[in-house]
Amino acid sequence: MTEVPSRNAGGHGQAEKPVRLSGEPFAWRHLLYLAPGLALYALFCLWPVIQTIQFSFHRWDGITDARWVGLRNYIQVFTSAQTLTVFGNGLIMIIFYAVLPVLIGLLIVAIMTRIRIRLLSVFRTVLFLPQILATVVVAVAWRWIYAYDGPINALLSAVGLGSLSRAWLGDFDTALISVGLIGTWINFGLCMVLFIGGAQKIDTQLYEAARLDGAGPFQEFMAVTLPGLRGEISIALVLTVTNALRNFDIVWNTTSGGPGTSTLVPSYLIYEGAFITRNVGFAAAASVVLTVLILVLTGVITRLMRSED
Amino acid sequence: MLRRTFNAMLAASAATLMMLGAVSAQDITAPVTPEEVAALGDITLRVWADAGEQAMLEKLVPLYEQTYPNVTVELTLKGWDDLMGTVVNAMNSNTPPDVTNGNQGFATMGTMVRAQLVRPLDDFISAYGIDQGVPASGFSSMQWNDEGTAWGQGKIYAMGGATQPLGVFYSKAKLEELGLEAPQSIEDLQAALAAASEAGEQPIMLGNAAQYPLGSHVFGILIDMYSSVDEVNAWIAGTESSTFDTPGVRKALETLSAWGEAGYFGNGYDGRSMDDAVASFGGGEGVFFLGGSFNGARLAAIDPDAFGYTLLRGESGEYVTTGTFGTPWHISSKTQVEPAALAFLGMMLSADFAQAYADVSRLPNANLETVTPTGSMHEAQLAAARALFADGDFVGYLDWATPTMQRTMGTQAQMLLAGRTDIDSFIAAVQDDWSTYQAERQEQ
Repeated sequence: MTEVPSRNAGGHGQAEKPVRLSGEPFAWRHLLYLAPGLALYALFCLWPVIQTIQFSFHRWDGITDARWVGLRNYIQVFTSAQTLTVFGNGLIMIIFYAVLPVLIGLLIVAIMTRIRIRLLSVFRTVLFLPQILATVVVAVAWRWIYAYDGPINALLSAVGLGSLSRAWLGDFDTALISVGLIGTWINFGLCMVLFIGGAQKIDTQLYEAARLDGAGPFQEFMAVTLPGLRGEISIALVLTVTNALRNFDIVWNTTSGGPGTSTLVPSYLIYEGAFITRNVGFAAAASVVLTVLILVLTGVITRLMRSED
Repeated sequence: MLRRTFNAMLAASAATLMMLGAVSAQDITAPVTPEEVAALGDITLRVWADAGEQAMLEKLVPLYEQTYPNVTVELTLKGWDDLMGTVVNAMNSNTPPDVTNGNQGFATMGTMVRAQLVRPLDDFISAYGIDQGVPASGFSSMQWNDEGTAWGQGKIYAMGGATQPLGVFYSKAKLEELGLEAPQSIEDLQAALAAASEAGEQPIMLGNAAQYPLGSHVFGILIDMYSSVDEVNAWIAGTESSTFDTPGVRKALETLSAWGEAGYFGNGYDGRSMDDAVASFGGGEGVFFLGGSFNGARLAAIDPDAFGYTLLRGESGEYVTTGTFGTPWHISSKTQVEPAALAFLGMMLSADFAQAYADVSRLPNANLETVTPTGSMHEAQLAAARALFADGDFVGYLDWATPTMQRTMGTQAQMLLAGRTDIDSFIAAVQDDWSTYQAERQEQ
């Protein structure tokens, strides 16, 4: 393409960069640059979304003719006790997948800004590892840890608390928390790395100023570190909340949604509807609701974090 | 709009097929000959199978390729859940597997019959004599009406290679220690469980982390003991005015609940996988293991003589259990290499090949009477299957009743044993699932 001549750039040492000046006429052909990306995005993202919305108004087994049922699938999503439980479980997952990891990440950063830690990069790598492990591997490992004859119960017995031992993933009271904590373990490394990166950008003069003003560790954290990390916290929350609500693999590989429906989450219900019970319309409606829920929650998060700027 | 798209797609695929000129809806009257297969030229036969069939297929495929040298078998093995999640869509694609495993019930087989994705096999079954020596009732779960909305009667769309009755495995050493005989009836089993518990043994080894097999197999065996076979089968098939609220079902639930209360399943069974449970039972934990005969292959691999297997006799005095001719095999209605596909199934289900099933401790439908067992447990399994074929009654799997029944029963059974539901609510939840689906079936 023709390089746009730049009249005033030379003096700033940016002569190589084509800059479109305000006087240049807008050329439609420039939009062609966007076309390949847009085409791929439309084909693999937008079109499936539109199709899913379309399916959600039908009763369809995925194969034979679909039948229009209007809002019936949506009514089922919002009135079936099981679906409501499942979406409730999804929201509880946010505590474990998003809130706890962010708090742990912040705690680690708060400690690191006060205390110089030797072998920091080693710690950082080790704590980040869960994030890059295949979730199937993570699930299998935790299944063993939580098993009735696994190390947690062995430890409890060793300290005389054997009466508390149970199959942590198979107990109605502990299954959801146990699955959730696996998510915490996976996600806190991500939050930590994001926050460490953010903390390193904070001007050290701010810390010095705070200390001169007599701020203790807590005040310093609240006045300097936390505001400085607002952008990173926002990103961490958007990623982890999305992760929480679309959680599937950990549940699939640990509890299959049980016992009862205590760990059944929306993605699992959607998978079952689409591929096992072949109620594609219902699965599509649940997907649409889940997508809207994720969009609203992440929208609220970014909005809240931005408005304080 | 959606329908228009489908119709367009359907028309397009029909046009493609016509161009290829390969849809032969011709019935066969005699087994396919090697010459007919050779006439296809060098071809590939695509086969999808459950991983449980691997050992058998490793024997079949070389034999088949040797007999039909122009055919290369392209085998895709999948875990059960993976297979169930993908097989219907794969069969609906333009390049479906020519031969595949499926599953009984409305969600998988029903959908494939409704969409005409699978070839009726009545002609094949007569031509190869596959119905010889097997009880006709065993076919019912693979017979469908043309609309694919009801099973039990109509054309046969599948056939399995090895029967898989639900039964009771027991540790011979432990029964001997307890001074007990192998149970023959539910009363015997109840007494043995109580004795085992008394002696400080874990009566039943169970791994129910996947909400299975407690609400399906263990409960199924109990229902078989207390209910009339026809009543249960009618309910599973969705016969109008059937109900799950029967005295037999209540008795079965009371028993299940009592077993839970008595601690017969031990601790932590909802956190243990089925595989781990089989391994633990194989390693000497637990006196009994209730489940499908297919678990026997793994136990026999540990020790072919350490375990026993038995079916229980119902009130009639005959064996009554949940079972079929095994995981069903289908031939795609779109296959371009039909003779090769028929020959493949023909060889797999033949009397000549039956011993290959037996060699991996399975129970072939063909030649069940004469195959040689791998050990005493397998021998007991073969004897049970023979008696079942001769005089016994097959009951369907409960989860065939509706696409969501596996989840509903699995969930309810866990809740019942955890004291989070009672028998009335259990029955209501199951019947509610059933009624909802019957209403949907009416709309189809």
